[in-house]
Amino acid sequence: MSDQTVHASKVRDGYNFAYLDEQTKRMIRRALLKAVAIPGYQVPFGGREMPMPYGWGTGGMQVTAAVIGEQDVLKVIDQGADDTTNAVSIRAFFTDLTGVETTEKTEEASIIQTRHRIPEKPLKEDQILIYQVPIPDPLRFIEPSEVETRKMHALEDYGVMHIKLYEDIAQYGHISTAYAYPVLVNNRYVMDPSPIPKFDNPKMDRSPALQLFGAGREKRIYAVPPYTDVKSLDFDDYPFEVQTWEEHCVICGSSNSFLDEVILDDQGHRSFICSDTDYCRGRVESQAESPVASNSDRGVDK
Amino acid sequence: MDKASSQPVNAPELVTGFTDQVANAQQTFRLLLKAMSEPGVIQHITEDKGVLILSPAAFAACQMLLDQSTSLWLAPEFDLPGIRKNLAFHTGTKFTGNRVEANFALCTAETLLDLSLFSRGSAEYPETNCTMLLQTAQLGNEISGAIKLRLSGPGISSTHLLSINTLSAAVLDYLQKRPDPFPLGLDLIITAGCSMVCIPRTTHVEVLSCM
Amino acid sequence: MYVAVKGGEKAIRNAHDLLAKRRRGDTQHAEVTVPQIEQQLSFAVDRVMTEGSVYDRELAALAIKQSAGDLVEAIFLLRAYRTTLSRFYTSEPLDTANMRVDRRISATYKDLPGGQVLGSTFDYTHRLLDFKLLAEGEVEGVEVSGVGTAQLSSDEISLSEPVPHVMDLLEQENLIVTETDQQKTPSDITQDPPTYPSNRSARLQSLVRGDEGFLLALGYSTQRGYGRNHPFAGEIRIGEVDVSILPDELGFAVDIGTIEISECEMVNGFTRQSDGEVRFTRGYGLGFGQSERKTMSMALLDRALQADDYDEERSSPAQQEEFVLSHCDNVEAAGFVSHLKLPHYVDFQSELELLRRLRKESQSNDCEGEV
Repeated sequence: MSDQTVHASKVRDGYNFAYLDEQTKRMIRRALLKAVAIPGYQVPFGGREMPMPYGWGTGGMQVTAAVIGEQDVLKVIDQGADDTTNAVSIRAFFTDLTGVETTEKTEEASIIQTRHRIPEKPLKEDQILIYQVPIPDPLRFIEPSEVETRKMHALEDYGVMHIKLYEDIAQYGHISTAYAYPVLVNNRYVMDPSPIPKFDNPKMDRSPALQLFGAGREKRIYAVPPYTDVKSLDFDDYPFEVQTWEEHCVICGSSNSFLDEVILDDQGHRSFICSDTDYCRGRVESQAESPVASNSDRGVDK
Repeated sequence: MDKASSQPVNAPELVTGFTDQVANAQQTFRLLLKAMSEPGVIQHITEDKGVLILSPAAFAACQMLLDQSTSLWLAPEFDLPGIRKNLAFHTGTKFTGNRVEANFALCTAETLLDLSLFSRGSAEYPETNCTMLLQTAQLGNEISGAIKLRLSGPGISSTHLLSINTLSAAVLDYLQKRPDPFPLGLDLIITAGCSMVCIPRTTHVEVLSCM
Repeated sequence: MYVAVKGGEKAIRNAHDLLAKRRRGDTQHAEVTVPQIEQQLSFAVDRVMTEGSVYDRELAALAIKQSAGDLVEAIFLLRAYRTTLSRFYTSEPLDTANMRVDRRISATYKDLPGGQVLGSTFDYTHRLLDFKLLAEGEVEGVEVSGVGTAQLSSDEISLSEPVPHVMDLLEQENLIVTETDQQKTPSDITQDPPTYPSNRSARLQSLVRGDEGFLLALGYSTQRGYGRNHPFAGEIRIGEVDVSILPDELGFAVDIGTIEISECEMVNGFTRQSDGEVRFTRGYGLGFGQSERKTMSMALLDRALQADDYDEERSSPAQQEEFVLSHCDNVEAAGFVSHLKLPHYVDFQSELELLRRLRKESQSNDCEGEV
């Protein structure tokens, strides 16, 4: 076993496996089955208060709690890193309340709960990616009323969204949405992919993994089954583009991954490093094993 | 007359449900989740306890899905005291004779002649449809002499072949024609013995042969 | 060479230790006990029970101690605890007509059956800081047993007799809209997600656990003209009621306990109803313990949200159902506002990248213009 894996242990005394009572799990499970039958549609569910505050991942946690079993291996990331404080906190919660094995290695996880990133390493069949979602409705900031947005989704009337994107182009010359970039799922529902950078949107399209989304405070669950079309909204003359950097990661040299900017000093010197810490570590390890190959690999990441 | 036997002869027997409530419900759910998100991929449960004609896979699905907040419609062949008693005991589900308001329906796939009254949901609340639990004799990828379907759509990389023994003409017709405009529709959970497979409303179904 | 920041787990553990130290404070002073909080900070306990949606004075006091007096945090603790509780029964409706009143006032009548009973209230205190309270437990306590009933009445009225609701008196004269039992199963907002338009039972449940400050501000806004509904405090009553359940196995009701509640009924502006009669309208507020400000605000909002019943235009914030109900829960509100503290650097980086790109493009456009 690698350093990045923590073995299974006992469940905390006095609590049901994964914290939620069985009735709540059933309710969430029924909602999940509807969600995969209606890709991209936000299924209302009776979300519960969790021991973490609303807005801090309770939706993702409830989905994970309903899905997870003793045999699973769990990875939890926030901003792409396993070590950010909230990822640490949520992982500790599941260790405490399920005893399941945890890992930092993307390829070893059967369940990955994430906030704001999709791992760089492509996911495989039978992996489940669970996204934490703050505002589930992609129309919410254009139309605050749920009564109205429900009608729009029902009628497939997404005119207001197209207008908004068009107005961005008129004002800035670009669509000015950089994250939580709306997508069209299975050619029917416009969906909010959660605040992942638009850089990650292409990974959602026809992924072999199952993608589940939980919004605890807003009480909505949605899903994208494997091999489902997910297309970022755009116009023919203004096609969808992802973020790029001139810089490489100073740790592993990657120029194909999403980079975090780190300010080094008061003069504003900055460094860029991979947001996905496991991906970065993996590249460093494989470079240590075959240093010659790594130089020619620079810029070509698989 | 035996004084010791005060019970009427036909008192329905309670069977044991999940041996480990928490773990078995979760395991059954994962199989159903995979089945519903990858239509046509057959899943197998390890619990082998059914109730009368209710197959182990269908019984496991009922235990995992149903409780006090759900309502279940039983087709006549399933509406037996033994099945009612066990489902009531193990799940607490409400029973309804009204197809329009049922959240779940338990039927034999071969004899289901009329799907018209089951709820398809609404455009604003498509999740309020009825989920059909259809029981059959056999499920496989290719069974000679059985109905052969080719499935495609969300959850399926290219196509899946699915053989079912057997489905009624009404169910086949529903799957081929898909009369309800998406997102409305019925989602099917099809069981046989210890196997289960799902065909959600998003799946495009081609009938290759109907026996 | 940049070395990545690590050590999130250790930082969290240290933060917990620092919090424990802060909560305890200077050890020269005795640690505050849960019974002391329960007894001597009783209004805080009342609020935490009401918004935490759990009637248990000891648990609420514990939550207040654990959160070092941050009441919104204490409310969250109780709510999270509530999630773990098993649900056995739903009680019978509380019979507030049979309340053993400790306090009962009405602004609509000078005197009335049951009288005006002031009870324990800040209402007529002079808000002058009492520096005698700085002394630690050395001041002679007030002998409670010797205090009179603070009753305004010509006669001595026995408080052990049930006191009729003021609204009943108005209903008898057909002057006010009647609240009728519609024989429907009430919503349960703790089980099901909200749907809009909502129904009154779901609205009232949301308002009971709603943030007192938010409800107070919105209630206040109606008085200042943002959806004015001409309120009078028809009755405020505070006291103990019995809680009973009706188990199927027994077939009759059994009392399982007693709780202290506050109930407020507002008499609001009159309107012509569909039967042609002109009647006063009304609003309702309920809370655990002695929670007047909350129940009064709630009653004002209940009435404001009845706009559809009286063909009123929903032109003010207090009348906007989705706005009020989506934002009144302080567990949700505090969670989401405070979540801004979580790392958002990936999304911020996305915005930075876009902004830099836009600037670069406008600069090169400027350059082109110069040529």
